[in-house]
Amino acid sequence: MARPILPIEKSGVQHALPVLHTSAPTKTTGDLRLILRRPRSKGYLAQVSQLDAGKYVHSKQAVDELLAAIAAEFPELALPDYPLGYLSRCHLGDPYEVHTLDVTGGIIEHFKVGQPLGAMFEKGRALALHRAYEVVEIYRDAVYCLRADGSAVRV
Amino acid sequence: MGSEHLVISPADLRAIERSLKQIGEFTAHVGTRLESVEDQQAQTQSLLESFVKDFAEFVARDAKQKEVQLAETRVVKVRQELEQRFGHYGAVRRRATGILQAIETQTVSSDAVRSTTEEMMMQAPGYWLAPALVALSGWVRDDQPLAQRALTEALRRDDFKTSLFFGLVTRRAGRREANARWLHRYLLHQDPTALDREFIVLLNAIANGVFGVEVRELTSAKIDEWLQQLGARAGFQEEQEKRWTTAFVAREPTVSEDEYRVLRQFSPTWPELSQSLSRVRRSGVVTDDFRAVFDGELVVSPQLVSEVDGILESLVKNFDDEELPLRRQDRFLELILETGGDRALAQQRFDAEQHALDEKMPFTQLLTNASMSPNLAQASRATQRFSIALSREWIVRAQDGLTARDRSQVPQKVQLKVGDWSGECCDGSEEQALRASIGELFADKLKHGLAAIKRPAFFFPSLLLGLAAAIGMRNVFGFCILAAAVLYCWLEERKLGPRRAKLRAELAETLARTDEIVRAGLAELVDYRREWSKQDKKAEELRELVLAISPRECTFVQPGEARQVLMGRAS
Repeated sequence: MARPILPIEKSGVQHALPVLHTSAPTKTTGDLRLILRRPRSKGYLAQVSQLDAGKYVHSKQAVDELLAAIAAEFPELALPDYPLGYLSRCHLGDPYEVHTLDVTGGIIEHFKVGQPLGAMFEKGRALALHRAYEVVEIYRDAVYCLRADGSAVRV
Repeated sequence: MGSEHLVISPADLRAIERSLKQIGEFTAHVGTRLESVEDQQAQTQSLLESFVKDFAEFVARDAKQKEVQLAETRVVKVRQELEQRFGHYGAVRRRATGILQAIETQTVSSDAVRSTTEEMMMQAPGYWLAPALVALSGWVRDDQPLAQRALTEALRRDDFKTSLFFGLVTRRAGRREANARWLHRYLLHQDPTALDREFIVLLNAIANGVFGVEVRELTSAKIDEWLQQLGARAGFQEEQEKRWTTAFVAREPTVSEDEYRVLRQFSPTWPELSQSLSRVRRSGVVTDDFRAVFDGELVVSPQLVSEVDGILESLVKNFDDEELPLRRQDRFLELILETGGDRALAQQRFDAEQHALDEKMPFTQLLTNASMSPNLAQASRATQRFSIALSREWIVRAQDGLTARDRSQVPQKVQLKVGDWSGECCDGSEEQALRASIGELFADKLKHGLAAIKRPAFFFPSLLLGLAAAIGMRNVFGFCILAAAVLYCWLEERKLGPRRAKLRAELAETLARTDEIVRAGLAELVDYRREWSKQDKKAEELRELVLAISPRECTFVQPGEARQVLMGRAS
């Protein structure tokens, strides 16, 4: 069910992502926590909350906007500190329950009930399904759930 | 050869035997002596040990006696020094309370107060209380120049204590504006990372409206400043969140033994289910705690006023900072005398006393303690409201963190295990599938069980043997053998039916019991999930409740909000 959100070139190389253009040094765990505990902006939240909308599948411009919003939200972060991806409730209906956006691969994937996700993504599954959270950010070693008011909580 | 005969001829060995006997006796004697020496050595050792013990005791006793003698000598010297240097302080202290009462009750002429305070001023150079009392007498007599000069001197000598003194005196006199200014000055001296013990008493009084509106506003502004100052420190926010997280975790209730009995007994997932339920119930408990704090009318205890007056009393009566080194020496020497010269024990008691006296507390710790352990922190309900309102942001973050953890860790799949059967369920809607699984297991068991109920190995051979005997012998004896074989087979065949029936009955009974347990387990799981969702909603309710607290409105009791049942001269 994997649907690429960026056109894949014939050579098989993914489209260059704006988020990767960063020269910021890698942060220590403490610094990273301080940055990530900040409430997210409305613009960013709006962008990442619309992962399920069909426009990302068809519009490269929409995808670029989304990725630019991610880059703008974390200007001080280096590539290794970026979210691995996002996880949120899927509105496609039964049997799909969640979908993921893999930031590095730029792929939106929908998952059925019980269908296993990756290790860190699986950690955020129950949170993504909960109505209290709009979207769940997945990092290498942590999961942050974002509420509608932009507040971010580390799990 | 002849010489060889001589060699082997019998010799007279009696002399040798005698010698050997003597050696033996000697050895025995030596052995006896040796034993005696050992005994003596043991006695000596014992005596020596006893002596060493006595000696050590003597040395210790002597050391203690010397410590006592030394302490007796030194305590006299220290007290002489205290008397020489600070004896007049004691005189000032003894008269200060009387002067305050005289001023308040207006029972002594202002001239008498003036002469007494001025005399004290001359007797106690360097002591802040003397000019403070002169200033007070000047104030009472409307002698502003004298009051100002004396105040300047008192502030020069000890700004902190003078400010607190006048803050408390002006409250008793009902001078609200002056009271606010003095307490503001007192607050300027407070370090928010190490507050004095009396601060909680003042905070209770301020929060309950014992002081005027002006004091409340000033204190509120000062506290805002402290929080901004503290908030700028690295890791401060996280530290506060941790404090609140710990406080919330301590409120997790345990799941009673009577609840979810089937899951408790038949689900290997029960430990996780129980922990998750206990955690999710926490929000309800904390919500009730907070509602109890914020609902209802505030009644101000009359004790608060006496506590505030207690600060004034101790401020006037307690030793001054200058005296403290000598007072501490005096106390330590006293403890040495009390413990009979045991310096280590005296030091231990001294350290414990000093720790209690020097106890300081960060403002934020005070907020957490006042919010979650008001009895321990001696905080009133108004202080509790104020503390919770000020901690709102940290409470929400701590609550959000715990809630998200609880939601991510709720067991999705629940195992059920009854006898040999085990199955997995999620929300209790799996009855059909699980019963089918039980049915399959028991059908399989029945199949294997029936297959295991076989005729004995000798069944068919005995029949063949009987037939062979009957055909081969063709006589009565042969037929008798056949008849015996048939009888044996018939009897064996008759046993098979009941054994199969017994197996079927046993399995049917176990199947029914397993079915029943699984149905009960699933019903409990449905209840569990419902309760979990219900309790989980309380987490959101708690969040909304805390976010709805207005720090400005709840920081302190507003005029008219608290029912004033204060006795005496509360402002």
